[in-house]
Amino acid sequence: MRRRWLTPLLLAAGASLGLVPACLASFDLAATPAWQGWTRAGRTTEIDVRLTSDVARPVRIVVAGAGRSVTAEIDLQAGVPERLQIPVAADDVLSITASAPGVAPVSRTLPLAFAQSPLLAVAAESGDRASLDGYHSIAIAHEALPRHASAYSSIDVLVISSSVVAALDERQWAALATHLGRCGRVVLAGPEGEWAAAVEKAAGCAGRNLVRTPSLGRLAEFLSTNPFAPVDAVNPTSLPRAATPGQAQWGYVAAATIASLALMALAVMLLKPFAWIAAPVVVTALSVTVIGALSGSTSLALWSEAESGSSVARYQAVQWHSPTKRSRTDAPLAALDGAQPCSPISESVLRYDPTSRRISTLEFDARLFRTVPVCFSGTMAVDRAIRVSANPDGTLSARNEGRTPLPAGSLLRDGRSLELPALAADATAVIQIQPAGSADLSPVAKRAASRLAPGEIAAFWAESRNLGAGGEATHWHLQRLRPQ
Amino acid sequence: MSLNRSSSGLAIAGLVITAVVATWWLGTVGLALPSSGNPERASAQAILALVLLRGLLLPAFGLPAGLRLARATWPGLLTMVAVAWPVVALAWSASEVTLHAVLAAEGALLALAVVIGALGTAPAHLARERLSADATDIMATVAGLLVALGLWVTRQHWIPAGLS
Repeated sequence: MRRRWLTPLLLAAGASLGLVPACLASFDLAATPAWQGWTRAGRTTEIDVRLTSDVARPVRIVVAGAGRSVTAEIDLQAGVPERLQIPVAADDVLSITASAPGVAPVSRTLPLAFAQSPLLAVAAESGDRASLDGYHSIAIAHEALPRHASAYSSIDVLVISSSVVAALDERQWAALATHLGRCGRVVLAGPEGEWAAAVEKAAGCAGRNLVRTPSLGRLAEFLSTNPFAPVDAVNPTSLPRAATPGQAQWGYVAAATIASLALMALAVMLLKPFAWIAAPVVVTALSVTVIGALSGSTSLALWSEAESGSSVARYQAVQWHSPTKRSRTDAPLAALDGAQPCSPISESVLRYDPTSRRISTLEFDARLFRTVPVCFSGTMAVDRAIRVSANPDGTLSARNEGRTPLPAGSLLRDGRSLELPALAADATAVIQIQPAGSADLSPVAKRAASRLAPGEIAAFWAESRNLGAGGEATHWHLQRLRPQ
Repeated sequence: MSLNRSSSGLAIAGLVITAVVATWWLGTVGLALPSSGNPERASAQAILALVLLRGLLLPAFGLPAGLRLARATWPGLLTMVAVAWPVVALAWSASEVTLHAVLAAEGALLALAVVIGALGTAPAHLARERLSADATDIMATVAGLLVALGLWVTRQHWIPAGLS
């Protein structure tokens, strides 16, 4: 008799003993902001999140600021520490929460410090110090340098020694190279060497914002004679759009409104009075269903610029999302770096994909006619090369030195444009320069021409590119050329 | 005047005000879109305008119709409210107005339509026995306008907070 109830009891106890540790076991969460928590208003920073768990489990991490947050989901293995760097818009206080099924969420609060003066980050061997009048200086260990280029926007000047550059891991170097490619202000201290050469090669804007100095002690004196060049990035939201998605939606909504009013007028004329009430119900359901069933649109504009001979181009891009239904919407983002909403979007959530190490999705409250722009910035490899030389007869020779065909575009100089024909790989075209080009430029070509210095010549073209979730993107590229 | 004609008049009045507000809404949104304006605000204003106009026109048109006919004009009154629903639904899709606020406002309008329909029948018999047809018309019109005025003055109380 005793055995009848004892066996299930023992089984239940055994099962409980096995389950209890799984339920009670929690995980450790630690979070550190980049740049020792220093940043500036409106900038992006990075949070280094470290997680360990006693048991294998999926964990959702939410880094939340005021009104916007970034989420990431990772699969924790038992006893294996996971480290994740999440780029996030700077806010006074960030809360980091890790949650998993069956476990109480663990939270940490990180206050960020907003510097009033420009930030100077110094990543050099211990003991080396650098300061500049008017700058707030912070010393950074090499392992604390960020893994996302967007986090470099928190600081104004980076001072780094070539020995620290050599000690960076692969992701840190990629982020630094992108920052350099985007004309970030960097002071490189130390002797010549392989890494110093790599830094110089990665620097955009023809290296105007990369300063070499033999010693940090004379940095202020050195910068007073070698000032940084102003960084003039294109405002991505001002890039032209092929079509305004909201205007296409407007046409459908106007048609649906007219149709619904006409249908109800017909119902009033043709149906019995007691059947009238049914007509608006049916027409409302129809119009909302039809408009909601229209596919939302997404469009992407990408602007890149590169100097002659540079293997990387810096880009600014914007992706516009225009859903047609009022709902919580997940918008997949283009496979580009540095994704952030161009302007604050209330209650929006960015999803960080730990595999691609990019912000991959924007979750937001969609409304009819609402267009949500997401901005990107980064660097991309330049896979095209063009050389332009002057011929003795007064014409120009344009040669495609790249391995891919060059689309038709234009040569820009001093606000005037010459037609540049499409060129196959290794092909050369002779360009007549009489008359000296047309001053009747399209708005987008005018914008490109305005970015050139007097006398500077550049090739400019537009093409369609597939950028993953962004669909077809219009890509404008401005390639500054070295006069031959 | 037949019930059908009177009710048609009320339904058509509802259609006309819906068409006017829809034209304003679409025009404002159409102008706002290229200049990155704010379609959400215009959409919320369109919903508010439709609620207010129907709320005021229900007694202004409904009471005289009921008094003259001495019959309930519910089909026309309810249709006057309901004809705006497609535009209200589309404007709601483009606005920040909560569904709860819209449903509360439409519910209040339907209730008002039922009350106006009932009000139209009861005093009508009395009025027709003691007053001339012209006096009934005048009394009905004045009564409708007075109720509409009362609704305008007390609009803060019956329009849901999420709309105003």
